[in-house]
Amino acid sequence: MKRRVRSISLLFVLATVGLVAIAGCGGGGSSSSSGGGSSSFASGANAACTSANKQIAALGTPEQDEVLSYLESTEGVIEKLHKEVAALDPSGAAETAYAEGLATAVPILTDMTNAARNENFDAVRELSDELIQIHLGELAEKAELTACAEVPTAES
Amino acid sequence: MKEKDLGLKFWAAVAVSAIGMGVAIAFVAGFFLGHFTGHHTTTTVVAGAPAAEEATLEETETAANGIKLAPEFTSDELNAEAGDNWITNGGSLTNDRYSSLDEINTENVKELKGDWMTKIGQNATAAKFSAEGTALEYEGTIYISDGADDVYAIEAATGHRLWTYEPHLPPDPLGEVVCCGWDNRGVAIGDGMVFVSQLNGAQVALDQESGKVKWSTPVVKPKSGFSITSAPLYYNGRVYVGGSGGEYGVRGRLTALDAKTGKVDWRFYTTPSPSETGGDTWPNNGSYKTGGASLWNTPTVDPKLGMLYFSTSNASPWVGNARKGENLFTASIVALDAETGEYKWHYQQVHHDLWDFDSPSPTVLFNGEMNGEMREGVGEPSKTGWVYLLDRKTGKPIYPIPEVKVPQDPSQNTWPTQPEPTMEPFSPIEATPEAVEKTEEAVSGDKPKPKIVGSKIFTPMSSDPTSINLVANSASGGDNWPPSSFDPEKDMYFVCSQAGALGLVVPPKPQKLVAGQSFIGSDTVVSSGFNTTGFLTAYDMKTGKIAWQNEFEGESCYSGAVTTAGGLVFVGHNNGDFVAYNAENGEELWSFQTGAGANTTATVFEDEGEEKVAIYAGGNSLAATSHGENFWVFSLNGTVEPAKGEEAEAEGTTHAGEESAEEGGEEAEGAEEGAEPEEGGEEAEGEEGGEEAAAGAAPNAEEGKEVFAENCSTCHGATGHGGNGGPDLRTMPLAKTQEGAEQQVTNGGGGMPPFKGVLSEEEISNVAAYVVEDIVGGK
Repeated sequence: MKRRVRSISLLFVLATVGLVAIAGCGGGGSSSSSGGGSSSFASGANAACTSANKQIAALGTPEQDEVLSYLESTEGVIEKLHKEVAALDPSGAAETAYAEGLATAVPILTDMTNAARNENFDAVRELSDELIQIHLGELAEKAELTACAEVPTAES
Repeated sequence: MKEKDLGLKFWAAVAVSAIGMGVAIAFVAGFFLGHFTGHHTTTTVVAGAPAAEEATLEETETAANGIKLAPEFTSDELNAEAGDNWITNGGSLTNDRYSSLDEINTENVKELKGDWMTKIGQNATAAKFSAEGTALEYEGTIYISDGADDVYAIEAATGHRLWTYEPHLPPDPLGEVVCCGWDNRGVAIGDGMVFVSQLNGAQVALDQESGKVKWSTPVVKPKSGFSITSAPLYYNGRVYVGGSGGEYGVRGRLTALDAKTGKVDWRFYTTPSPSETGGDTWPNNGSYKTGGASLWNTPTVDPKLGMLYFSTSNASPWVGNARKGENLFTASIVALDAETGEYKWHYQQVHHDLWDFDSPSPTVLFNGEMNGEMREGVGEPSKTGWVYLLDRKTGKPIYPIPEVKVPQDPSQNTWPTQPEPTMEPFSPIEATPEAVEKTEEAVSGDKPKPKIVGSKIFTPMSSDPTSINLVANSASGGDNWPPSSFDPEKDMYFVCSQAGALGLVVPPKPQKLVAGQSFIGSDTVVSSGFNTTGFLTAYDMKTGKIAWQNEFEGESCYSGAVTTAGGLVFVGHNNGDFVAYNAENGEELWSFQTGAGANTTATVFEDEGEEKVAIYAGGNSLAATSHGENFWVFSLNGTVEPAKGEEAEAEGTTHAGEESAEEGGEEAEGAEEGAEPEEGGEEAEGEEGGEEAAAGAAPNAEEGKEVFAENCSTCHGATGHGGNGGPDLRTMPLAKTQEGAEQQVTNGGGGMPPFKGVLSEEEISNVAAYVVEDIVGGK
């Protein structure tokens, strides 16, 4: 019974990480990847997000014993995305807020990976909650970064 | 499998819908939430700017670009005296904890003030944690770990945090197999990495610039009783890792890993199998496999001889009737070939240990005049109360250590003789009247109350439960893990210790080992606790005599010593005072209130052309000192004044003195013994507890007192104010309510075993009432 609860909890987290953290972290947007922003920041960020989304989608949905490698891969993708977005030098308030939200998400993902490495799945779940509360998807939408607000579909 | 599929679909759907709505969904209002409040922020008090300042990880990540990466240090670099940098746990491969810096000296140390104080260890302020980490410093960056195995990189000049590594170790079941409390004694650096040994048995390498994991290798199995509290050693491309668990029936080992890859290179088991050297010192019953001899601390290395040295823990279980023989290499100093792990020599400090006489303090290498000659020695100050000083090439004593006949008890397979060093002991080797008195207090509620017999070292443990031999030092005395320091200029050696004592009753039948459970061998253990008289002892190594000794009445010396070329000995104190003594005569020259139990050893380094001294004041579970989050750096140009209550204030944190005074400073004097009863009541203010004890099934606190004395006082002390491994119950939130206390006693957790099945429901209810009403409530 305990095992079942843990399994469910874990999958909940993974679903959340896969669908929330990654492709712009939780906004509601469409699946369009054309990008909505008008600045060079927007086009650059959307391109970076499109690439990140593809990489995350390619990771699929992990089994329980694949959690750590899944999170490690995810962390790498998001860290790269963060660096690319930060390098674009956001100008407007919404763009800056999105970039800052991404920066906040990266260490939380790192902590989630650390917690998974040490088999503390309660902490993974807790951290995933922190991740969601950044509302990155909403921040992406406000910055008109449609690709960054996109929810990728995991490849099976 | 079907359950799993259902779970995925269900929860994925929930997640998607939640995301689609753009709402935040809260998974758990869980235990960890409070701990992670303030995640990735630092609070730093800097010189000239006493107000707190917030810095986010985002800001400090930018600063992390300035971190200078440690090279693959050569053996010469690692073996050099600490000076500008402090690059190994012990200052150098010698573990002498001596700095060649002399800008701060006996004349000007009184001017020393805080450069800055920053908050660390936010995840490690609960009672089960101890702050025992020694900071490293390399080219302007400090690396320090806390009791939760979190690691911090901090800018030495400003106190700004550059990165944080949080492993998020699971609280259970790990919490039940870590003796004695959660702690981490520090990290190692080298080859662009920071190496941290974790309580869950993992050896982890972090990227020095970012704090991200580069590799992680499980070196011991935590659920079978192993944990790691020692700081690893980086040397010659390897990381050397110990492991503890001598109270859980582990087989001790030293593991050498490739520093670049984390691959295990070799392993040396400290209890040999029958075919190995020393294997014949164990009976033919497999007891070597659970024989203890774990490693609590960081090894030393002599690069010239190519030898690595470490000391080992007690034999397991403590009761020795099922392990006839000397039981090598328990309670020993062991020398190995540093490259191959090949056995070189050993010196057993206690044969067939029955008294928890392990040697958790790190070995120290000595070069200087000793016993009339220039010698190269290795030594260790043990829990017996003696220093064992040996020639590091041969393992032979430098000052004579004769084998002395000792009292015998054939049923415990006592060894006929024991080594008794002729160097004067630094802690009394006969149980002191103070230790006897404190132990008598602890058993005062027992029916029938046993007689406590103050005994000399090596007196066999009692088999008669009505008369318990209280043996000097043991688990509660001598030098525990706190490191010692050797000043090669003065040829003087400094040891922190105390005068506790312990006794147990040998049961008629040997205890059966259950993996992951305590394996001491006795259900009846009595102790004076740690709050007995402490000592800072200075030896003149030319003669082996004590040059001076400072006594600290009712306060253990539980932090370790660090010396400098400025003629100073720095020692942290349980009450939060960080003190500098004159190395020549022990005179106190400077004292600074750090705001929490100062139970770590200091670090000395140079930054921006100035000598600086650092210490982490975070409190200690075993010594029952106040927890805190204060990491201090001091210099002669510092302007930050000692901690007062307001500066030390942080949610969920208690600090030195808060138990006996509203304001900081003088507060800690009453924290250990004399806290007034009503103060405990004040702490409970706002809690729901107290009156609940009187409701329901009318638990009986008076009867609970007896249960407490029999089952709890060994860890929590006779008064419940902390003792051998157990925290001060007045600081425990769950101890403030009947419900909380019952829950904790029933289920255990946080290092405490569950008592469900051990005590009846009525006994649990009664002991909870005693804790809530009498100990916390102060009746």
